[in-house]
Amino acid sequence: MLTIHEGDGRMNRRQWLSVGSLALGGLSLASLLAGRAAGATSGLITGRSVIFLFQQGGPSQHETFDPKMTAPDGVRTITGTVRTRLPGIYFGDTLPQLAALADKLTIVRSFQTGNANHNIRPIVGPETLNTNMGSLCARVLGAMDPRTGMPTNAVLFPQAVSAEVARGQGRGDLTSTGVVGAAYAPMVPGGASNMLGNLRLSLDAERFHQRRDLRGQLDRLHRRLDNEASYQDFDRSHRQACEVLLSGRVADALDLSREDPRVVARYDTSRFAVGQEWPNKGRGRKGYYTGHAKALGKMLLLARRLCEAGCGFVTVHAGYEGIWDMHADGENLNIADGMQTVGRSFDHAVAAFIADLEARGLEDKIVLIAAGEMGRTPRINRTGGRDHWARLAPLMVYGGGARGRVIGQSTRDGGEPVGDNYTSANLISTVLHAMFDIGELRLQPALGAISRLAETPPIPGVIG
Amino acid sequence: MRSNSVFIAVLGLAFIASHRAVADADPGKPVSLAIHPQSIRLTSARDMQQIIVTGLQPDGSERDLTSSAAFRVEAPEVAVIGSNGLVEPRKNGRTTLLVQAGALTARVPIVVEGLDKPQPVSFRHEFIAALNVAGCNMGACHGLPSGRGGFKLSLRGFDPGADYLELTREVFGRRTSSLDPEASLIFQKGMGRIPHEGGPRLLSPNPVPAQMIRGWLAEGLRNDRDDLPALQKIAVVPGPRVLQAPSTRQQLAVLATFADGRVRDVTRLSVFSSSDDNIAKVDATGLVEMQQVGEAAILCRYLDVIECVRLTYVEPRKDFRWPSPPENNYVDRHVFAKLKLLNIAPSELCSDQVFLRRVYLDLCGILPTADEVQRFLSDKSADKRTVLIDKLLARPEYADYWAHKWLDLLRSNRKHIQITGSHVFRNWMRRHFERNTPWDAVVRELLTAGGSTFANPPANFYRGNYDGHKPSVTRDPQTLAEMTSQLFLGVRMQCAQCHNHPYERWSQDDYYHLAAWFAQVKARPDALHPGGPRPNYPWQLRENAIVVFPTRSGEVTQPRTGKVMPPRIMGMPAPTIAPGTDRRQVLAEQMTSVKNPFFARAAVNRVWFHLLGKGIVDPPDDFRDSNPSANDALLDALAKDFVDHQFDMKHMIRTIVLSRTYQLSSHTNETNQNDDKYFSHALVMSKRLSAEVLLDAICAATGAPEKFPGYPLGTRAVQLPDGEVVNTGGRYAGWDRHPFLKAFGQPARELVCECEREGDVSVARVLEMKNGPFVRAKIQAADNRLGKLLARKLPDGEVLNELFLVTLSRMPLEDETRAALDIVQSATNRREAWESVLWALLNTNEFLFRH
Repeated sequence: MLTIHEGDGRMNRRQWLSVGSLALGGLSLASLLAGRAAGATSGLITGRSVIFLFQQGGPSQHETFDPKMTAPDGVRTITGTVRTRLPGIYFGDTLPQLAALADKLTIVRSFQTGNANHNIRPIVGPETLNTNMGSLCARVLGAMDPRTGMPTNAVLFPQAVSAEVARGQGRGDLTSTGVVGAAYAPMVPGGASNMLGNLRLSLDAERFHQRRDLRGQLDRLHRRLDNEASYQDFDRSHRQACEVLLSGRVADALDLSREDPRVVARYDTSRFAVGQEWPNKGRGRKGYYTGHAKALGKMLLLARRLCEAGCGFVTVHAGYEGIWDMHADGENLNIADGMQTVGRSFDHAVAAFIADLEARGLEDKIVLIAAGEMGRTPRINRTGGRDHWARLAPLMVYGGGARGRVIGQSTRDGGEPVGDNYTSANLISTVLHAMFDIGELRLQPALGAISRLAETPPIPGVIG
Repeated sequence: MRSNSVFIAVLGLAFIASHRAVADADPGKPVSLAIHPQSIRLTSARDMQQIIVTGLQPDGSERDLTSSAAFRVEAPEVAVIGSNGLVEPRKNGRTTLLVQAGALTARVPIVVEGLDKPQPVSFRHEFIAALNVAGCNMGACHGLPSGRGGFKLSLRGFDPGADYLELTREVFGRRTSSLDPEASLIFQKGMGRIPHEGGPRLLSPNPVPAQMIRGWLAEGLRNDRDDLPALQKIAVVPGPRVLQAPSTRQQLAVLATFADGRVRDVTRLSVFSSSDDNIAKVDATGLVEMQQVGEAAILCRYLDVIECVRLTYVEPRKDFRWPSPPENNYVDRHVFAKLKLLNIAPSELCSDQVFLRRVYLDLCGILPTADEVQRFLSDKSADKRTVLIDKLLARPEYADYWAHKWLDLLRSNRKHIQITGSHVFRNWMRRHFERNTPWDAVVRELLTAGGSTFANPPANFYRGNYDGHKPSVTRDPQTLAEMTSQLFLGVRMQCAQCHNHPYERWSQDDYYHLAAWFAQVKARPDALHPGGPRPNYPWQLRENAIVVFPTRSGEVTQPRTGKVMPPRIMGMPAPTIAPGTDRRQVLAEQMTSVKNPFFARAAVNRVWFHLLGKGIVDPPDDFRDSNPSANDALLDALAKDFVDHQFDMKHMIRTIVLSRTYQLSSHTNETNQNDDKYFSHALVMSKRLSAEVLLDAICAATGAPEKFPGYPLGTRAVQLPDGEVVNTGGRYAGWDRHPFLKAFGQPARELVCECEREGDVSVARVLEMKNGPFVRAKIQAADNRLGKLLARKLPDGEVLNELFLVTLSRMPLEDETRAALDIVQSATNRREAWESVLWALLNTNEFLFRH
């Protein structure tokens, strides 16, 4: 017990130090007009970004992070297990690369979504006030990073990295902006979005320069206010906007061809398409399994690039309408086959991501969360699938300065949490705690709806 | 006595020489000294007394001499004094404190007694106070509901019982150790001996908190006895004061009175903060340092009791002559009186051209047309501003605009009250502004509303959040209390839901008293509009209404004490409510009663905020002692006028807009360039055109109206009943905002706070103006104003004049004409060149701001 508390203390200090250096760069222009001192907001933003890898369909806890090898046949994992770096901890055996990195992962074995339907919870749901989690964060961060013009909230579908893969959406509107106002809608690369359009100069640069010069000549107020400090802040955003337009940095971040080809190759998961289209399954015919395998790794790479350029929250949705939904029916693969393609591409993509982040020294600054909208039944159905399950779901977190550990435990059949359980509300609070200083957040009256979500305790130890 | 004085005079020189160097050691030429307190009695080893020395100057002003006076205690073995004027006991006995300032001396008798009796550190009165001073239990630190780093204290010590347990029992008692006090975690971390995220909080110029904490630890973590006398009140010495340069410092002392009649100096156990750090800074010992001309409230808090003291700082300005500007009405009288006191000269009257644009935007949210500009500028009559104001107040756009402002706050949002609800709500609000219904009547109608939300528009105020599952609920009493308080009393009560308000006297009890007014409001589905899925489109829901009605049962209990709270407005006497009456009737009467100190003030302050760009109390819905108004007399006079005129909204607006204060230029002079608080010039930065007004202005200027789905062409953004106008289509059909409006911070209408409308600068907005599809479409529309002007084959100069008139409401200057026509006349594609000119005009700050 004692060491746990000490551990927390150490993490917090490290986090605090890293924040100190980031806070300046991460400051948004928000509030300058309102006259609030820059010092008042500088402590609010920790400088961490969150990437949410959304495993829609509902991943199985047994075949991922909680295999239950002691449970009877028909309950325990079908895939067998693999020993991890953590003593006594095993993962399902389609996750060998993650098993080797287990000391860097936080696995929550007592997480439940309280939901057994296909939807886009916990990213958008009653727990988030029906607002995309990223939009809540963007409301605090400001819609764009002022240095780069990068939108602070993004949703990636497979078409963000490849036009060839099947198109698909989630079951629900991931761009819901609910309580925060639509200025904080996520950018959707490869989809239609005003925000991206605005970042591409709509006329040639020469005419733009001409217009800009004329504006300067016509502006009497500009000349008069030039000496006022508050005005200079305002004017700076004009200059930054021009810079964003002329530099094209956001477009660069979205362009994977600017990445080192070796890094792209390291992330690439297309080999897990397993060379077949699964024509006997609905999702296979639609190309979803191949789409997932071809896109997932690159999507995580793209998410990392966006975060580096100033994005605060990225939802990665490679799951089409629920690719983890392994019922073994006419639409879906069974657990064994499904894990071979979906599970292995997940394993590879996340492992590549972790290696890449550590190579770049970003492990404290980016948090990766992987979860779906539910878990799966402890009992394997007669066709070799598992069905919808609300009472337990896998949750994996990496980065943000936390040390690897397993939190909580489940009952013998992997069906329910034993003791303390964590819900989507705890998860949202964890995200807010990762990105913001909650004490500062509470002092902003306009952000009251958001800071109330952070009153639910965060999952302890997930964020360093 | 005589020999004593000589002695002091001689010795005085010696210790004045060694006295710490201070910026304003100039004591002036005091003609008499006043010392607080007149006698000192210290009854415990930890008692102390802050001395305050005040010198009366020949001109009648008072000056704080505490930091420049010389002190000496005759018997230093009995008591000692620091150069900061803090007296501390050493052993029982009697002695005298000698004070010298300028050529004057004074004597203060000192009695020290009771040091031989054991007096342990009081957990509640001293230890918790020490945590408060060190800031350990601040809201951002361990005072967070979830604590920090696993250590949780009650916010600013409002629950000492829980804190005692947390400190002595949690973490196996490692936080506090009576055997080795300095090994206690709280002491080690506070002193910076082991790393602490919050820094070494106990290392401060004020060593008393560290002493108290160490003392309590060493004495064995004792809890207080049950008969500990309660804290009754605190007082701050001196009271309100005007400091005149070169005097920039004022020492404060805080005196606490306890239930047993004991009065104790608690200056070193109090927390100080300033309402405005730009004007006054206060340090941990209660020493205030004025920074610039102006007024600030210094908030002094000992335990959970708060007292504020107002300090004003004035500097004589060389060659300053009050310009004696004419006063149009009482508004100017009060504003100018304050400016005169502060030696600030107001700006000149703004030009006709600026006034015209300003008053169009502020009263009606529109720009004047080219004709209107020219007619007004060529009008030679003396009262043309007054005539224009009356004309604007009679225009339908006035009602549109002011209803729109209130609908923002009243949450007219189709997600909650449905499309029909938002339409009827807007019509209701608009009609009241059109007819100029007395404001108290509007509020009474709103607060007592009942019936179907589609048939009785104000009932929408009570409608709960609609989530499709529980469609027929009202908002809960707490939410209604918070809304009512912020909307009509200007008081933000949200914090008091969970704990006593940290910066204010409002307690948790006040909060639940207020909620009790709404405990008996209920709702049921409206049989005429039951809602439910649409046939054939089951994922789409039909509109539904609810019926709001009062019942006879329902109470609110205070969660901490478990007591049932009777309804009451804070600061008002407890009402008598006859059984069977709708509580809200009584609430509406009390709320709008002339005896309610808040109602009229909050209303006029909000109007002032909308017209001048900043509230007299600012933020306009945050009235509290620690957020003082910029001009009490002005606020009082406006509130009185509002009451005297039966809450006549148009009268209020007219009075303010007629004042010279409103009509001042935004050009500043040497004396008022740093003032953004006392209304000595027009504010510009806080008066950016709002999202809706900007969209309307761009449409009007380019002559290309925007079509909102479901509304006729020509409907302005300000007229929309709610913001969600774009049908996103598809299977998960929902409503979205207009992309331009959303980029410019149109509020989501979820909060009752003016702060929901974001005025922040963002790169996204600038990009939307410079490069966004909306502005581009308006400029490029073939039959827009440019298209029509060019089709008429007018001379370039005339085209340019019209473009200036419809955007900036003025004629171009010579150099501006030259710059613009250069581009047009050297271009191969004239239409494109004109588009560039129009783009440049729309992107000037002159267009984007009301100035």
